[in-house]
Amino acid sequence: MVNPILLIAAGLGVAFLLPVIDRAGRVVSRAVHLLTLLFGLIVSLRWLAALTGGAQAAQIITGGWIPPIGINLRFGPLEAALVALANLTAIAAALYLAHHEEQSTVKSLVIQLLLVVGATGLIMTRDLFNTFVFLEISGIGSYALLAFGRERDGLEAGFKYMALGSAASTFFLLGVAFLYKLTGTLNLDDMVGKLSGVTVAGVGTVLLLVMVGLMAELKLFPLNGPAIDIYDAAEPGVNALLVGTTLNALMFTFFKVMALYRGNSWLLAIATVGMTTFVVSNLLAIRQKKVRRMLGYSSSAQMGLMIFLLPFIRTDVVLMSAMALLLLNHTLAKAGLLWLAGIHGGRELDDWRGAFPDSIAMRVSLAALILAIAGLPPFPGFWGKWQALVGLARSTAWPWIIPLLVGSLLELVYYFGWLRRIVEPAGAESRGSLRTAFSEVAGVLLFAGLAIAFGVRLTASVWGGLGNPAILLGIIGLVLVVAQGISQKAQAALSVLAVGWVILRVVQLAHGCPLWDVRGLFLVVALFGALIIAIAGIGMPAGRGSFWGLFLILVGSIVGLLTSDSLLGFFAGWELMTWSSYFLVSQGREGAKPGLLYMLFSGAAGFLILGGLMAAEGAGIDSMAQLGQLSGGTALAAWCLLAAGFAVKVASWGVHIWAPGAYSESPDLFTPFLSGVISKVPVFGLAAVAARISAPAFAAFLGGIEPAHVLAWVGGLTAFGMTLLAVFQEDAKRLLAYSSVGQVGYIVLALAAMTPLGWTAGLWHVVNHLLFKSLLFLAVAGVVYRTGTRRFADMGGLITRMPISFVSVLIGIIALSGVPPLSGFAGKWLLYEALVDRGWLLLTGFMMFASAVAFLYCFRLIHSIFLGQLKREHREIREAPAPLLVSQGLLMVAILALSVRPRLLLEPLQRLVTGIFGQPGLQFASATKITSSLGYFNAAAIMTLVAALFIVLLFFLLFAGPKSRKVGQLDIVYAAEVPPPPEEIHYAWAFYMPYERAFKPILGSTVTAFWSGVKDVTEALADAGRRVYTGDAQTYVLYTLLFILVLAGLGLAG
Amino acid sequence: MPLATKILWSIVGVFGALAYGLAIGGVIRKVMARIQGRIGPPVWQPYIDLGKNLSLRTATHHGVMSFIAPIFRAAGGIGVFLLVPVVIGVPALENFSFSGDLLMVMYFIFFGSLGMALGAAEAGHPHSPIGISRGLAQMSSYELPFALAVVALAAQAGSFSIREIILAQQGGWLHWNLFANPLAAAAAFLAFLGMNMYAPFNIVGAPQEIPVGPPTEFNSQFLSLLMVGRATFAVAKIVLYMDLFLGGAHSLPEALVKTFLIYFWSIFVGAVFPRFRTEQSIRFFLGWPTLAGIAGVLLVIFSH
Amino acid sequence: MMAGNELYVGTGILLIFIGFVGVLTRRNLLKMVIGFSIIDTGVNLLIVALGYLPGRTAPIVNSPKYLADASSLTVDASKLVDPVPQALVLTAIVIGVGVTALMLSYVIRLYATEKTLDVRQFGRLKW
Repeated sequence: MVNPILLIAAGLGVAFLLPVIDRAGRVVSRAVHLLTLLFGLIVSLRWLAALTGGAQAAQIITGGWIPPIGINLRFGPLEAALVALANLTAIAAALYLAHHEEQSTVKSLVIQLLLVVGATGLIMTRDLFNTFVFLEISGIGSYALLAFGRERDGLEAGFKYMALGSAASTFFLLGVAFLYKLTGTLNLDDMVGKLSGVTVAGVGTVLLLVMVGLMAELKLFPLNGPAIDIYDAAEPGVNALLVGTTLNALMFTFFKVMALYRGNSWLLAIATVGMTTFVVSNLLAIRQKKVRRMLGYSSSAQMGLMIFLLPFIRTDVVLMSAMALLLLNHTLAKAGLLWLAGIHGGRELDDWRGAFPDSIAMRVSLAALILAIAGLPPFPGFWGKWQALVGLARSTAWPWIIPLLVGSLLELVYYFGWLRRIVEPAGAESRGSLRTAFSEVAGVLLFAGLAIAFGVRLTASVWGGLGNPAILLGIIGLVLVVAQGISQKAQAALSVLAVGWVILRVVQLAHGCPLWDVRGLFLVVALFGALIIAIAGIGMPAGRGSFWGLFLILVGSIVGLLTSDSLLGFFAGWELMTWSSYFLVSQGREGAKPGLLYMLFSGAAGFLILGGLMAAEGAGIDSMAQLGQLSGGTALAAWCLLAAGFAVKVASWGVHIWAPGAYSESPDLFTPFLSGVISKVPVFGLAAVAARISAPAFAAFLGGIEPAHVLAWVGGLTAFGMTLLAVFQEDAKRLLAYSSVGQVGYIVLALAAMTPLGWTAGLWHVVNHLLFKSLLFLAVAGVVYRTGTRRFADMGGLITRMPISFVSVLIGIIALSGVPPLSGFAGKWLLYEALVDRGWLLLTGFMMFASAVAFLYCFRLIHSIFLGQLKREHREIREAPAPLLVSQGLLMVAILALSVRPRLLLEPLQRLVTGIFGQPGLQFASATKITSSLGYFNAAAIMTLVAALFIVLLFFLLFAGPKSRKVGQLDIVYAAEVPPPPEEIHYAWAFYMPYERAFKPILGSTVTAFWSGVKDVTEALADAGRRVYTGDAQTYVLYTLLFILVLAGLGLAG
Repeated sequence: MPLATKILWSIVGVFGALAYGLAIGGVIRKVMARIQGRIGPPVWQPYIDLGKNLSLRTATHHGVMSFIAPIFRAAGGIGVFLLVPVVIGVPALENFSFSGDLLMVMYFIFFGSLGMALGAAEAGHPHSPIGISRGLAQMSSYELPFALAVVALAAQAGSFSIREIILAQQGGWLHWNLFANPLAAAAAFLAFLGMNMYAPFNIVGAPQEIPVGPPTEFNSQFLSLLMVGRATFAVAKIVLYMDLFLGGAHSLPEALVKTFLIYFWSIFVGAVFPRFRTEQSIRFFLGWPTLAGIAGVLLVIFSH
Repeated sequence: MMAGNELYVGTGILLIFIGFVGVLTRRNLLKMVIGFSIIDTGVNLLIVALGYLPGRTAPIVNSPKYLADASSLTVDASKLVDPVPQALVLTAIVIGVGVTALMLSYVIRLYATEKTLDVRQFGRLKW
């Protein structure tokens, strides 16, 4: 094996020879440069392979002196990985920078190499003064590289950066010198032992100097002003190189010197500064309009997060790997994004609208890297954060989880604010393309590819291997996203096959074992819902090019979530589902902004759930099956956090403001899935979690009520509130959106009853709602596709043109409203019986009222679209495309089947609830009669009664009276009236005006006002905080001094 | 009882209800006329109207929905009637109440209204949907006190079965829910005013201002089916109220007396009050009647 | 603790202090660079002072005897000061020169852009 010291020697040697080699031509010097880096990469990777294979870490002794006298270097697995990463980044950076005039000189090549050498040295050395030397090599290298830029702002930033860096290294050197004085050694490993014997009072201050020196270099708050300027003004390629080399090396250096702080009170200070940086930088970033500056804040935040973890890493393997994953993730994502920023050239956020319109590879890379840095799965950062949280949860440091989650949410705010622009449809002003040479974008593609590859691998390891249907669906989806040549309809057909295959596979897997647990039920719901959408997709275009690829990723993530038993697997699927559905929502014509709102609320929901899961992880529980072991306060906390998260995701009243926009603006073919399936996933979470955790009642001072009772009222309020709001909508999809949220409110309420009957009601409604709401949304999708409008006032009278769609909507609203004899009645019946059975009488009355209000919007929907007078421009309109009707047909058949024979579903549900509660909620008195403890009904008998009455009366109409004649709508006059000229009037606007007047007092937009207040306050805070960075070099230097003084003061006080 | 006999009795029952319903309608028109100082139509006028409608030589409709809407309406009325036991203990007059409980009846009520609304709307006259929007708005608001009353009764009887609710009221008139839970009864009887759509809650039909409300879209045998639906539905409602609050009936005369009294409650009120606007009636139902309903439910909660 | 070298330690600290005052209060870029240079000097002096022991000599052996035959050397370590800080300072001085040179070249380039040396003119990037 090659001696690792050669990595430094070769780098240095080539660096100094390069100007000479350059005489032979730039091509030659560039080749030598790249070969040197490649050599470094290969050597370090081979070492890495050997070291992870169990080989001993290399100890390198210099100058013949053995440590602690001589300088020694170490090359273990972490070192090898970091050096490999540095070389890899440098290769990609060199390829990229070659396209930028100022950095294509041989001088730049030399410095680039020096930076790698500096980083390699910093990583490997075990000597403190040597560390200082490499620190300075790296520092000078970076200042010099920045100085090559000729732009004024770049120089300004470089100077400030240098001023701060000089101050920082002064502190570091002073600290090192004093440490030497105290311990008599410069060897790190030797010093750790000797320092513990030192009891001099000044030792704390000395350690403080070392610490602050490194903190300033690692751009922790508030010392990060110049670093952010660098991101803003300097060539992004240079910053990318710094991220992969110097920054990582500095982080590792800090990691190494942490040994000196063990058992020291500075540990808390380090954690505090790190976490403060994470939260504050993420907060301040949300007001950034400049992309590069935003990336700078983000870098600070990421560094802060890693620094925060350092004090907690002792022997904790979990936190160690968390750190490694976070660092890998940050390097890949940040370097890649910086290159992208350089290639695209857009400085302002708004320049990024529809970025890279003609290159799917760049768009996918951009999206993947943003997701990666936002800490979403499948990318390494997600797993890193998870492990970090688990590590914290299992220690006494668990309160830190709260700011960590808050910071992460803020991170989502600005990264998805950026994505919001990117996902907007491409316009004439959209910039960025693949016009440039391949070598310039090679780094981006490489890093994005690596991030994805790591992601797939990590996800597969949690979800049971690459052969898992969920993973395979995801991979097929990824291929479809990238494959641009295939037509939308062909992609839809492919999706039908893929989903169909998964259904067969799941049936096969379930063969022999009882499918009818909660998981199986939701799996059926999800896959059936997906199949319906895919079939419909053969008939009409959906969203943009990547719709079906994303859709398969989404379905895959739901399958993964439902089939995974570990908490991690569940949450990974949850977050995957969140972002893939975010992209799908955003594909609507006006979907970008509602998409952002959807993402932010979903993100918040995710973090609440994460908090709940961490409460469980803290108790040593990592699988769903073990959740029952939770007890006491932990159980209560976990239950409440999880329930709150799921409640946000189902858009409960108070947090519902994301739903109408997301539902109505998402592509018409996606809305049914959003409503039918995605809104059910939190319900699954509730069912899976609530069934297992037995949360005790709240403490007496909170009234001693059961948390489930609170949830029930939340569900009930949602059901009522959303139903009421649905009544006043002027837009078909918005109306159904509110309705959808309200219906899920019933489900939440029913499940919260925690009785066999309640669960029967809730789960029945899960299936029924999937059926009728998908049916309604699909029918509306067909209408919108044909008419091009969603506004009620622009439709009307379509019954003659689109009769099958009309029947769909009719069946849909009857099933929704609960009118017998269709399946909806069983749902209402179950719900009311369950609630009375539970003793929640007022809620029952309230829900009956809500159901009555639902009639209003049901009639509104069908009347405004299909009844009344036909618009002149719609006289030639055609029925919806056949595949759409096939989907609707399938749904109608399912509804009718459940209506005639509710036992088809109720019987398995009884087995299910018996498994959970030990007793069924219903009895089957005869083949068709269903009884509960309170009442009974006979679906088949009612169906027969209705049919008999109908037939008898129909015969009466047809044969008893005179033969009736069909007359045109306008072909009618009243006695003594002069027939006015026919005029089209469609009563469809402000349909329930009196109702609105009556409910005015409670229809105020307090919720919207509240959330916009939250937004304003956050933004005002961010704006005020930003003022810290005055832009003045001297202020920044002053900050370092003040920072030391404050910390020293705190240290003395503590 | 064999099914065939059952069906036969049901047919008899439906026709009986129809006759009774039409008669009540006639009586009311007469009473109203007398109160207003008019002579008014003869009591048997509804029978004449029905006969006239059935014997018209022309009939028009505006499409499938407007054709089948009256069927919905009549089926809805008859269906509700068939689900409510008229005389307890007489199997022939307990109808098909064993096929569905009180909740089934509550939701079957909507069946007719829904079909009727669809048909009237297809006719295309803008006044129809206006009337329907008013009707639905009013319906949803009286549903709240009614629902609360129903919940109170069901919880009190421990069952949603109408038969059980009747049986729970036996043993003297003081056991009737009208007196056992006067608050729930008050809520329900106030809601009843809305259900019957007499003044002050008659803006739905708006007999003076919009002489073209939903029913005017129909003619000849269509209109006659609507009349059938209306009459049977009216009887079903009062029978239901009798079962829920007045302890049901053990004989047909008892049922006739009780139902007639219940129906006259809305006439007495209707004859002396002017009309509410839609939003006023909504606010009314969400006010005192709802409070009474809530109090009725609380009464059950705390007395058990 | 460091009997006899308080003067050097004190001077070092004073120089660092003076340097920082210069960096923080002078608006002229060149004067700021001078400030940094003074800080460097102060730090170097301080480090040397830390290793200084009164009455001892520099750890430099230049006797002809040693040069002729290294094995014959016998050094009385108690007569020498700690050599490590001095070695460190040599390196630090070199680095300091590099940093100063780089800083000055920044100043030149900055002057070229705005024709001024006032640091307040170079605060455009902020927030």
